[in-house]
Amino acid sequence: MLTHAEYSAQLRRLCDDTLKNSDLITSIRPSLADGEVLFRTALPSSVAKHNLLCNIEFKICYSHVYQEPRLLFRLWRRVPSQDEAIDFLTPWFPSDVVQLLGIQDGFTVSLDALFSNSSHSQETWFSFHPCNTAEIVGDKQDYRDDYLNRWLSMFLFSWLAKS
Amino acid sequence: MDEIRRLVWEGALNVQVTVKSSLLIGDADLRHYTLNLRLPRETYIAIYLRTIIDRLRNYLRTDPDNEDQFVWLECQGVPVYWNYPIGILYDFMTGLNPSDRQRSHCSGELLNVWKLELAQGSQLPPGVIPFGSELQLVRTYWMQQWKQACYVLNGSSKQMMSLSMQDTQKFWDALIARDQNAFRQVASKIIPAKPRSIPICIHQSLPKMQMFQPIVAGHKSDGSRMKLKDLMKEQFSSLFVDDNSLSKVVSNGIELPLTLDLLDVYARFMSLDGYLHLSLCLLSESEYGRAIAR
Repeated sequence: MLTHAEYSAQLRRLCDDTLKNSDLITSIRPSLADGEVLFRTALPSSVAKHNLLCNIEFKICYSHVYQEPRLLFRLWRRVPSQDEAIDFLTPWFPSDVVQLLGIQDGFTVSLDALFSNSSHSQETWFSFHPCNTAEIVGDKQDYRDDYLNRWLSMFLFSWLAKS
Repeated sequence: MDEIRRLVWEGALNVQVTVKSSLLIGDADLRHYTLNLRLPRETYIAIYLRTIIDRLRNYLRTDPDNEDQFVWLECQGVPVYWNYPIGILYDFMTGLNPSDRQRSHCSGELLNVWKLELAQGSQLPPGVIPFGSELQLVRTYWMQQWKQACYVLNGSSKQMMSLSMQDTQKFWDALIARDQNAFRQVASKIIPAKPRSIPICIHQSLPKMQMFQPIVAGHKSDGSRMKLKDLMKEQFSSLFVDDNSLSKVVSNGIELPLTLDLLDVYARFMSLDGYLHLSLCLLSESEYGRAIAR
């Protein structure tokens, strides 16, 4: 569990250090004033064979209810057009997204509609449910300063790096 | 209290669904692609979307079951987010002012009907959760909402997570079958006698559509019970100034007096997802004039 002030401070460090230096992250767009960061990663090798999936976009934000960070993502796929000989991009909501991305058991992932601080509108994302975050990450006092880093390792890199 | 809960649970809306003209086959007759429905306020419209699609599919240019197509509903061109109860959607999307509605009834005008359009396309409007052919997605979303409400009420989701499979199924079946007693029986295992905080969603349609989820305790720091006006002054200080409110608080189509105790309001008006949904509506011109004169 993190207070919003702790989250904000650690989010800045996460952007400047972990996200910037990770080989898996291809682009970052922080919106620190809104407590959010958007980023993209390389496609997991497990889905590379799915030749229509072309982007995975992630967002980190803060859940005031759970007082935990929250990881959201959405997928984009190519829709080839035979008539125009070009591809269209469209958001994709596969029902088997957990298996498709190789996300480990133990995480609850579902579609959610969340109000965004930066766009001031409702957005649709797949969401890792944050209700048991502290149990997954471990919230001992010793880890507190590095909580967000540990959280991202568990919620993202643990499956993305493997797959 | 039971009587108010019953009235809230049994509240219903008249809804008319037509199809966007650009999606209709050429010679469709208006009478055939118009559905008039009476839907419970306390439910998700997505639960009925399959029925609506099945009744209208013969008049659509494109197969609504095509996997590259999405289907959703719109109100005057604005997408309807099915992830809120229908009643609250109606209240805030129409900016419902209950006293205006009473006046229109007195003047002998027609029935209140909420007019929606069925829309379809390869891209969903932002913020709309895609609706599949099965209700599983709706059920999953609803369960997550209850888990969150449970966390706000108890400081933990354990009460929700430890429901037996039978109770979880009974809870969902009660929502579908409109069985209030069964619904309350399971809900009472999640809602404590003394909630830590109250799950609240406040919806505002003007100046733009927004949603707020404040974390609100039932008691103030001095131990006294939180009133609706305390919450509103805290969240919307420019709209609720002393006794000169420029806005009203509406739930289930009813204007709530600001002097009500927040825990009591929750107990009576709690919605199907464990949240208390409130809609803000601006005063009518005459009400505004009276407020200024005071």
